[in-house]
Amino acid sequence: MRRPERSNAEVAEHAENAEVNLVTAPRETINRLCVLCALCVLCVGTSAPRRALAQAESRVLAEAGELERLGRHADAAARYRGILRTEPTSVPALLGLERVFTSLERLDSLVPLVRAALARDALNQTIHSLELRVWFALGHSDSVTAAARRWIALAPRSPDPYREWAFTVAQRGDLAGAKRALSEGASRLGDAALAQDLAQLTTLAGEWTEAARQWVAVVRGNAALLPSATGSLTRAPAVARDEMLSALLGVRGDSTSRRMAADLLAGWGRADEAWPLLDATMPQDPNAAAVLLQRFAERTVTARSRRNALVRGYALERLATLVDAAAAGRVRLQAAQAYADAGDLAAAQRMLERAGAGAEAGGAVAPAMASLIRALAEQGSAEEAERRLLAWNDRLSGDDRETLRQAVAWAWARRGELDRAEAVLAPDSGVAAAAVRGWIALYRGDLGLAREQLRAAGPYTGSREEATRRMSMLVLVERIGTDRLPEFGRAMLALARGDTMQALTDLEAAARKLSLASGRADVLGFAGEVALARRDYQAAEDLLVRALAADSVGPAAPAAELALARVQAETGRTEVAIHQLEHLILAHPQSAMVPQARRLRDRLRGVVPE
Amino acid sequence: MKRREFLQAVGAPLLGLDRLTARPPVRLSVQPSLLLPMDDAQGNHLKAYGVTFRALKRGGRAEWLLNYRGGSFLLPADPATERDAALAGVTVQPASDGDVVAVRGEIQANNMDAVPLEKAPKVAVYAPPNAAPWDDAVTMSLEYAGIEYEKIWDPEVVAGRLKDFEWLHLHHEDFTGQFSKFYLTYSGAFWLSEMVERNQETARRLGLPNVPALKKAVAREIRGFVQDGGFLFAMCTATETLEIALAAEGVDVAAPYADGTSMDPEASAKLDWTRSFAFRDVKLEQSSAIASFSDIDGHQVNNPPKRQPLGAFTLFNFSAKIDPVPTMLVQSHRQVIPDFYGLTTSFQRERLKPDVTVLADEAGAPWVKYIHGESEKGTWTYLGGHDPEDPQHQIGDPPTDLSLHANSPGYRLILNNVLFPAAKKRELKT
Repeated sequence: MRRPERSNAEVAEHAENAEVNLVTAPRETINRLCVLCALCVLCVGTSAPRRALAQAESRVLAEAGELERLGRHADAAARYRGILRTEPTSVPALLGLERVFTSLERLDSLVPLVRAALARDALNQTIHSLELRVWFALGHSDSVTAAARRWIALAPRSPDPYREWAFTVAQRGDLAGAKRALSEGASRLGDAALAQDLAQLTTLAGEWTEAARQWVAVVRGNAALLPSATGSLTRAPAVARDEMLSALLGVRGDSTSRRMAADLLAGWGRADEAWPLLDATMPQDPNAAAVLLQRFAERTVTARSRRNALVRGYALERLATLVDAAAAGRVRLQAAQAYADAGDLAAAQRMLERAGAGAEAGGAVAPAMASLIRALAEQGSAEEAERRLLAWNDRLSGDDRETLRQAVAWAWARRGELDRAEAVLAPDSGVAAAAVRGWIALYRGDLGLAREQLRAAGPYTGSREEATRRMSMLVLVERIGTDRLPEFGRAMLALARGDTMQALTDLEAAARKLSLASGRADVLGFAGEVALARRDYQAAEDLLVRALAADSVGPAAPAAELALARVQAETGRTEVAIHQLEHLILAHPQSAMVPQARRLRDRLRGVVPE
Repeated sequence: MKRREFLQAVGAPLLGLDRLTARPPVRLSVQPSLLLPMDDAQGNHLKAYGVTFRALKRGGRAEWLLNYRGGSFLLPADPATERDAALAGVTVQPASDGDVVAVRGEIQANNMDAVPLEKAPKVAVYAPPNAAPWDDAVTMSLEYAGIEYEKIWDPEVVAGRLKDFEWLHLHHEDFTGQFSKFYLTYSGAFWLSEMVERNQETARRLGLPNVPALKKAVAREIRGFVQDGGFLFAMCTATETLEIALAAEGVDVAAPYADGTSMDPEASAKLDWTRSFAFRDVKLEQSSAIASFSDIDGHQVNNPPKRQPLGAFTLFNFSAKIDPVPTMLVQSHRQVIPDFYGLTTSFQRERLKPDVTVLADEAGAPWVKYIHGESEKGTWTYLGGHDPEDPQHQIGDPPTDLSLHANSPGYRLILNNVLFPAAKKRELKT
């Protein structure tokens, strides 16, 4: 809409009659008049180019911005108002006044200016949005609604009025009101028009199930928005997730909702549940399928469980068939690593072969090969693991070589091939290798060497679980008053192989060979704990009672009492267990078992949660 | 023992005594004593309250040494107490007569006092009979410390059973009858439907038209309990909504989903704050779509445009010899405690009545955290927030395991309130 032309006299008169907010010295008045004069000069003659006017406006805007920066809000306001006198629809001036009037707590003064601007430019979205914000800031909720309705009437096919209306009331915390505004828009314009806004609003409101439904509608309209959708929904609390999944998976035959469910499950660490959904709804288009598979692989890169690693392997293997040859090799190596982490050695081997990971393969394959060797060792394929380790020795990193030697040594040790286990460790002199040697000595029944090596290994090498096991074993071995006890070694090896029954038999045999003073009670107590871990409560109780009968006051007694109390608790004798724990606490007040005993007592009495 | 009995018991002996001199100490016995330090030497602060409580239950006597080593307890060194402390993991230090004399000398010379504890109070917790999906910090601390309590609910309160107790705790309850406005975020949740149904059924059974009317009736009983000499401790939503319910006699302050009628648009102007304990001139939240009750709460945790971040609050120092009650309530081994949200987290200072005693606040903030006052013969104490060791608790979160927070200064504030009714009190001077 063109501004009406004005004569110079009219401009000057308008300038003189303009409302002025003078709060500073006359110097400012002069400045203002200079501005107005500058504008007047530029307006001289009906042929004054608009470009000159625009330049003048830019200059004044710049001045006003600088005044705002200096905190001279009143002066800045005067500049902006000056612009609006000649350009009532100047959006920068209006927005500038919004800022400065807010600081001056005079926002109500903006209302007539906004109304005047809209009278001249009725379809300007920015000015309409400004009007909503101003009414909202003034606390006139009815006026917000009225302004929104006026805008809707002017632009009945536009989603913008509903969107801005909803955003404005949502800022006040009225999420229900915002939802009503968007729903009204959706009912008039169709679901797709405001689907994303509704989805974002319901997500913000924590209405997770409804948000999931809304986002499905959004992604149906634009599949590229799936990452945004699931990114928002991933934040849902655990208590809300099952219901969200029910809502997504309840829509029959809808591949979009199932893919979203799969993506969410992958993000929540439930990749094994996600894969069947994704697999069943894989798009025919190879490019689209590759995108989904790539995303699934990225979402599962931190997969911890074997099942999650396995489905990650499936996804990567399929992805490798959809990408070009160069990328396929890399993807297959990732698949090999995932399969190895999952314990599927055959699949890992297959991926390595297809990736061209032969004897001549380079360092890029090394991480995948390291995973495979580790998996082979953990599964007991000691020969194969050692063979590959030797073949790849020069191509593995130093850290990988060391840890894989230990893994292979463990594999030999668990098979009872203790000499071969020691041979694998020969090149290693570090504390981690000392830890493994200590266990090997233990399995031989050489308690003297075991003590020496386990002490040398110290309390820090290996995982926390490994270090705790090692230190606990060292404490036990320190209490056994002999350097050689083959029965004990056989028992420990049986335990390493998972043969607990044999271990218990050998432990009892070992205990029989020990005197009261040389650790009989300790070994019986340890055997009791082994039986407890196996849930053989009868055997555990028998062994622990015998341990306490052998020694009820020595250092092993508190651990035996604590284990006995656990047996009693597990077999439903709560009061007996509490009594046992109280005896432990009172009889051995300095024992390290006492805090655990107190906690178990509290748990049995129901004063702390399970 | 009700507060009026305390005053009767101790008022006469105090007549004629110079306030600035300590009273003759209560000599527990000639046998050695046990000191339960409550500074950083204590292994389990929370259970120390339980050990003291059970000593009183057994008929023994104790002393609360205000401001001495974090508010320590002095108990007789009998086998039962020693055994109890050992089992609970409470640190005790044997104290001979000479040790006790030295302690009393230090107390006399400093801002400290020794308050006799005479009788374990009878404790009631106002809570629904079924399990709620959130935790109650007070019941957790009572369970953990091993302090006996009884649960009572609306039928018992309306039937007048509050007179059987000396101490009452309120936590989550929305005494405006709007179910804490959980409809806004948990609509459709089974536990909410079940809570609504249970409350509505209770209202019907008691002949009341709706849940807001029921909760107002309960609020009136609670006020009567306090005014008759009872001790009230409230946290979280209960603080704010109890006050609103008391002030809203005859005024509709509940949303339509609660009582079928809209809230009175002029409700704020019609509230009678002479009926409440702590607040005045409060502006109610008119919108049923906003998860807030009024402008009492400073933090407005569920009102996004007004939500304030958490800081830390500081306990005030009081004169132990002159103001023993507030001193008891702030006993802690930490002066500054990290704040924690609740549906009502804090209390706007400008909404407090002038006679309210502020026990803790956040420096520079317009709100306070912990307040106390009297109403006729009884007292009330309000602590904002839900769980001192779960600053941003959400419904469905796992419960706090207090064995992991055995030295919690926040939980000590709760337990101070439990034990304080056991004290003999002198005349208060605030």
